[in-house]
Amino acid sequence: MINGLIPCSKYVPLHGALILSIIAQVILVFDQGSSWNSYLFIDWDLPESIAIYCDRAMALIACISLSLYYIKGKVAYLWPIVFWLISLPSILAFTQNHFAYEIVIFCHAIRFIVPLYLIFQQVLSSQIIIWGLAMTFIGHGIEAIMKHPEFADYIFHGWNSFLSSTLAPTQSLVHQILFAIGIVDIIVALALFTRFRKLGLAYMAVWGFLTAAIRLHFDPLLGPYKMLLRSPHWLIPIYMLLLEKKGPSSHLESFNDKNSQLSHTLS
Amino acid sequence: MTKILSFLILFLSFGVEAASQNYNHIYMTWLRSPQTRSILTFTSKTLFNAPILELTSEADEVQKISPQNNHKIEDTYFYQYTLNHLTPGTTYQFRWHPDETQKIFIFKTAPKGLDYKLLLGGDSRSYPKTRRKINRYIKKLISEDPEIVALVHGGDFIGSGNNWRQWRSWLNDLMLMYPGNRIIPIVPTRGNHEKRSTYFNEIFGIRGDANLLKNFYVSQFHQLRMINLNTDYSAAGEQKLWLESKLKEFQNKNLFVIPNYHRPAFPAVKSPSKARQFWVPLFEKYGVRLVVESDGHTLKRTAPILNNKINLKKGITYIGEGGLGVKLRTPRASRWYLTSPGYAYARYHVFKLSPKAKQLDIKVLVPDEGEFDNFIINYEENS
Repeated sequence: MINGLIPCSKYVPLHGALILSIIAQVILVFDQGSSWNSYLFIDWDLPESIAIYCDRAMALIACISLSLYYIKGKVAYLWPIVFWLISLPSILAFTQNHFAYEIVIFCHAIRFIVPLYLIFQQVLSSQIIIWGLAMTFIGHGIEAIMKHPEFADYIFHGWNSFLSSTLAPTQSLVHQILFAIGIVDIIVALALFTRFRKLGLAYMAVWGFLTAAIRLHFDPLLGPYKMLLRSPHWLIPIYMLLLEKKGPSSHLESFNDKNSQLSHTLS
Repeated sequence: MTKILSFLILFLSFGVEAASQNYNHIYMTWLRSPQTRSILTFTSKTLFNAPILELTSEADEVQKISPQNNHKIEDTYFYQYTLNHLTPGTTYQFRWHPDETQKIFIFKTAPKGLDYKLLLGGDSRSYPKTRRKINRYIKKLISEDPEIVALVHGGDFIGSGNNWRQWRSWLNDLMLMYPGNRIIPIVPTRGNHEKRSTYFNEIFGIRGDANLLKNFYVSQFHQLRMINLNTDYSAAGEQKLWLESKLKEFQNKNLFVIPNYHRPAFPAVKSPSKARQFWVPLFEKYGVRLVVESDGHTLKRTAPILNNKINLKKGITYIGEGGLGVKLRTPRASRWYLTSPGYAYARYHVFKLSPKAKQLDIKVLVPDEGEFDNFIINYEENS
C-alpha cells in the first residue's frame, strides 16, 4: 500500500519529511514531554500523571493517524496530526515559554503545513508549501537577528569543532554572523516568490540540512531526534526542487493529477 | 447627635486613611558586593517628586538619600536607592519620607566574618498560594536564625517575565518573608520564565556594565563567591570566557566558589542544559565542589560527580532544582547521579548554607518536615 501511495520518487522527500518529523516528535514527547505536558500540569493544574498521559496520548494518536493514513489512504486521518502540530507551538506562544514566543508558530509552520497540504491537495496548490517554507525561514531568521542564545552556541560549538579550537570568535562577531544569517534567511524566504525560487530552495535544502544536523553534533543524546524533527526544513525544499524540474507552471497540475489519482486508487 | 457621630466616624476614618503607608512594596537586591552595597526599592502607585530615604546605623549619622533610579512599570512607580559605602556586618535602619506611617525598617549587610548564612532556592512561579506558604516558612527560619542574611533565588520568579501582574503578586508575597521590620535581600538569577523580559533588570535595579545587564555576575561574600550565571544567554561565548576568568581568579584562594544558575547540568527531571557541555568541564578543572541549580520543580542532591562518574572524594555536588512554590514534579530518581548519597524527591524546600572555616554546612529544610538533610562539603582537600 505504501508503494502505491508513493508512486514516484519525487514524493519521497514530502512523505519522508512527514514521517520522520512525526516519529521524532513522538519520541521527544515520550522522553521529554511537550509544551502540552507543561501546559496541562501547570496552567490547567492537572495531576502530573494525567498531564503526561494526555501528552503521550496525543502523540500516540498522531502516530496512529499517520499509520492509518498510509494504510487506508484517507487524508482525513491527517487532521489529528495537523491539530497536534499546530497546538505545540501555539501553547508555547500562549504561555510565552519560548525565546521568541511571538513568532514560534511561524518557525514551526512547515511542520504542520505539510499534512495540511496533503489534505487539501485537490484544492490548494503547492504554493502553500512555499508559504510554509517562507514562514519557517523568516521565523528562524528573526530569531537569529534576535540573537537566539542557542543559535549563538551552535556557532561557537561549530567553530570550535570544525574550524579552529584555539581561535574562538568573540560574542559580538557571533552576533554579527547571526544577524547576517537572519537577513539571508529572510531574503531567501522572499526569493521563493520571485524568479529566483530554485536558488532559494537549493539554499534552504543545504542550510536546512546543516542547521538540523548541527543538533546531532551539539546534543549527542537527543540530537538525532532533534535533527529528524527538522527534516521538513530541508526535505521539503528538495521536494519542491524536484517538482520545479518539470517547470513551475506545469508541476502543479501534474502533481495534483497524480495525487488525485492516488487518492482514488486508495479510496 | 447621630449626624455628629457619623461626621466624627467619617473624619476619623479619613484620618486613618491619611496616615496609611504610601508604598506597595519594599525590597532589597544584592548583586556584587553585599558587604558594602545594596539596592533598595520602594514601589508606589503615587508619583513623588523627591522621595527621600533616611538611612542610619548605630555608628553613622542619618543620611538623606535621593533615588538614583526612578521608573514606571504599568501603574507602578519604582524608586530605587543604591546604597554605597555600607559597613559590612552592620544593621541599618531606614525610613522612607513619603511614607506617612514613618515606619522604620532594618536590613543587615553581609558580614566580614563567617557569622552568616544564606538561603538558596528557586522556582516560585505560578502558584501564589504555595509560594506564600514557603515565604512564611522562610520568615520562620529567619526569625529562628538571625544569621541568615539573604535569599539567593535561582530564577523562575514568575510564570511570564513580561507580566507585571505576576511580578506584583510575587513582590506582595516577598513581603511575607520579612520577619517584622527586617528586609531580607534577594540575590537574583534569571530563569527561563524571565527570558528576554526587561522587567527583570528593572525590578531588581540591575544597571551598570554589560555583564551585569546580561545577568552574569559574582556576589562576593566573606570567603564565598557565588557565581551567578544566566542559562538563557549564550553559554559557550563570552559568558564561558568570563566564567573561566573568575574561576581562575578564585582558584587556590581559600574560597568557597559556588556557581548558581537556573537550568541544570545534572537534572532530576528534564534533559541537561548547555551548562553540562560548556560549564561543567570548567567547574571540574578549577576545583568547584558545590553547584546550585533550579528549574526541575523538585528537590535534588547529586552524588559528587567528576568526569561523568561518581567520585566521592573530589566530585562536585549539584543541589537544588527549585521548590519555592511552583507545583512539584516527580523526579527521575533512578538517574545514575541521583543514587546514594544523592537523592531526588518531590518536596518544597530551601537550602541553608553555612560557611565554616574549611567546610560548607548545607541543610535542606522542608516546610512541615523541618530538617530533611544535612551534609558537609569539605574544602580541606582542595587546599
